[in-house]
Amino acid sequence: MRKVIWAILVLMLASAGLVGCGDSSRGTASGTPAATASGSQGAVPTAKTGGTVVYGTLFEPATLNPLQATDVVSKWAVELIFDGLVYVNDKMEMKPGLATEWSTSPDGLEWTFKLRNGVRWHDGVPFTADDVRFTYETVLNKDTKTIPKTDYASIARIETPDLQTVRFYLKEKSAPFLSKLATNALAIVPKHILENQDLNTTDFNRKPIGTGPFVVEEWAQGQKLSVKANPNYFGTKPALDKIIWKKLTDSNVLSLQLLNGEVDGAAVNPEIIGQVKANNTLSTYETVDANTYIGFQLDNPLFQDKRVRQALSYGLDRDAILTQILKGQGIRSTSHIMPNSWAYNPDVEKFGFNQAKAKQLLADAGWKPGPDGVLTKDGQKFKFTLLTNAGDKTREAVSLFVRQQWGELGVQVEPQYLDLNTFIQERVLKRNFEAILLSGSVNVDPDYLYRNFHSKAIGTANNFLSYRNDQVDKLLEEGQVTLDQQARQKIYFEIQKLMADDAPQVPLYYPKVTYAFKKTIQGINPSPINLFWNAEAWHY
Amino acid sequence: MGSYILRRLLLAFPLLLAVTIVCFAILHLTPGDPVTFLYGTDATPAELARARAMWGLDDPIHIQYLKWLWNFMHGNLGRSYVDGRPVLDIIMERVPATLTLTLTAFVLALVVGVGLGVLSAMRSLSLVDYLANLLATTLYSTPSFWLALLLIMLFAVQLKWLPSSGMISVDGPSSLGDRLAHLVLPAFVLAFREIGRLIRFTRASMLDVLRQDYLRTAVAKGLPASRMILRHAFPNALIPIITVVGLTLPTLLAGSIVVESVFSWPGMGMLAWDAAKARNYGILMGDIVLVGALVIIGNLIADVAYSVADPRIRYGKGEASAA
Repeated sequence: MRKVIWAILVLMLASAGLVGCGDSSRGTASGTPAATASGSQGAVPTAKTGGTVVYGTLFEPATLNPLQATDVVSKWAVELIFDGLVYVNDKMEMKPGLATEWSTSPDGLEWTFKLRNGVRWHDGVPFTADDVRFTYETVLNKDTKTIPKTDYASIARIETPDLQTVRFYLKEKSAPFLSKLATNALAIVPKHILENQDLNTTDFNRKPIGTGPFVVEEWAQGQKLSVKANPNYFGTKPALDKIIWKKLTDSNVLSLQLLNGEVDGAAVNPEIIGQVKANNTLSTYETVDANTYIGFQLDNPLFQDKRVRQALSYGLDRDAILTQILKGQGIRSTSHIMPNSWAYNPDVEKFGFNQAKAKQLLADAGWKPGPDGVLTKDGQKFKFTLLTNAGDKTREAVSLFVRQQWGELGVQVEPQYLDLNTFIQERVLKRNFEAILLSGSVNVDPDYLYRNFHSKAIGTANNFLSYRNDQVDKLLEEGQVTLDQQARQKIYFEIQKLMADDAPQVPLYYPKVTYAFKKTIQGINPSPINLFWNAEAWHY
Repeated sequence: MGSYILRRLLLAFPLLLAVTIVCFAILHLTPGDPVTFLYGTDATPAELARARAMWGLDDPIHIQYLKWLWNFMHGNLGRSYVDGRPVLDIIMERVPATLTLTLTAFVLALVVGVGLGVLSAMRSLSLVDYLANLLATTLYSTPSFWLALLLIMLFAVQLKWLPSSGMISVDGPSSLGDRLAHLVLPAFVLAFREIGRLIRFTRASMLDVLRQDYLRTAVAKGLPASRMILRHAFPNALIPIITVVGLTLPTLLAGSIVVESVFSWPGMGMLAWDAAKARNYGILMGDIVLVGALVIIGNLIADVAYSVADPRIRYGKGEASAA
């Protein structure tokens, strides 16, 4: 009996070891962390070339195929491996990518792009206008499962007069059109590989071929994504040999690994920002994220009086939120437009904290304090639920702060936290809420406001606040078809002024995002869109 | 006996079917769906509807279930909504990682837990016994998450003896030594609670057996104590332990969300957790079927092993009949 037991135990141990050895997801190349001064062409003379950067992250791409990448992490990966006709830099400007120059016809309905010569796919095949046409036609094809197609619905047809020229024929003028051709919106995919593949099942989604500065070396799902330099890249040739995204699942462990050097860089958890800044082996870099705001359901009679909304704006001390809850890790926001965008209007009503004015406005709107201190009007109490997603400590703290502040005005707020998926699908998208605390998305073109605030977008796009303003509607429509940027800027400045005054939301803050990397790595310059937008310029 | 096993195996199919029906219903009745997870707030309702239609998510629930069942009977577990890969491939990718961890933890728990349990039973009420009991209670009451972080801070950060996450090092080749180093901490954390449980369980079972008269008689008649323990006491004490072992069979493949999440171990536990957040129904159903089948098989093995180990128990006409 004892021999049998021992035999079984030994067998189990042996099989455990064998099973472990049989695992095929191991690193292949032997990366040398030490920088080498030879071997890469096009290196900046004073910087070393070579080396590997290990970036620790809690997130993983869902796909590496630009045709299907909808989430931010996938788009970051796509930008390393692919290019679009243009790309967005840290100042949110459009710069030439695979297209070197472009022009529009006088009526704004034709956009002609001249493509770069000599670009090759990672497998050596030359890049041509056919690839561009294939990419856009695949997206426009209603039978393929790709990124949302409405962004490209204005394209009537695409022509390729020659291998280096692409012409888009639009159904209507579209000022935001160029931004939709950027790498982070839709990068170009190779026709010669994808034309006969089923998008849903092709290996390309995991082993893609692009034109970008980096080539995928290996993707072990759940563990790491490693890309290596493309020596034939048409732009700045990458100085680094490799970039590895190391996937971790616990933020405490990620913080530990950042602080003790096991990873070369990571996004910094706000709780350890002090420690990271004090650590003299790390440098920090900051950028901003999208507007976090409190939105009111404007179909609800509670919020239909502008004075009420303005009162709530005056009655919330947003600077206190920045100092006490965010501990300085954010800046005041005024709208969904990103603060470093050309369209950002710094000069709008900010509703500085003023409780007296708030109380006055509420009284003007007919709300009188009841016997229990809660404001009442026509027998109805001013009370509502503020929904946000569970598990986000900052948002929970903000909710409680809001309850306390608006409570002092006599407004009773009940914070409620829901699972993210439920929150978005059942409440936000279905407009089934009284007030919500959530954030917009980082956006490049101010036309983003259209889908969030035009009255036609209620129920058909993302105007879940049910905001209706004829003047703003007209301006939003004008902004879409005005191609001259200066004229457009005036339009969007006006929109922001009107909307700030209207106060359908109480904008709170643009959160600051901090990244930390070892001091020896240079060239890092995160934009709100993508930390890795200039990864080919990073070096030791 | 044979007919008993056959009967249980035949019953397994309708049982598994019932499990899939109930779980499918629960999954689909939970609010939220995979489309929201992928597109968030930036897609229009029309686009979301189109995506749902493409994945068959707007069919009535029973139609969706029947479609899933039909595919399942043909060996097709469907595809992941997130990246379109076959669910079977994704699960099979994670199985070796999970097995490495759980089997190691399992063996560790068995050896240490049962060993210490027997020892403390034999030296009952001595210092060894008290220490073993203290260890068992401590191990059993310590939260695994907290212990995991503590060990990481000690062994990975302070002493730098062991890596703090993952299965292999990300850069550089991975040797067997590298893999073993990565395995130590997670396997220990996964095992320790079971060790605590097995120490006490084995001790109790062993003490129970040692008190029996027939053992006293055997020793009185001249049987050496060591033979008494090894050939009579221990095997009989093992019986309930075998049952317990059979019942823990499903956990070998279910993995542990807590341990895998702290150590970033790419196993079935994390797969199920991520799939649940993303409402990735295909993966969740595949996982449920796998674990459900193992639970049924594990129970069967436990019952059969019980009967094999104890000749007094025989299954035949009517259920177990103990003499």
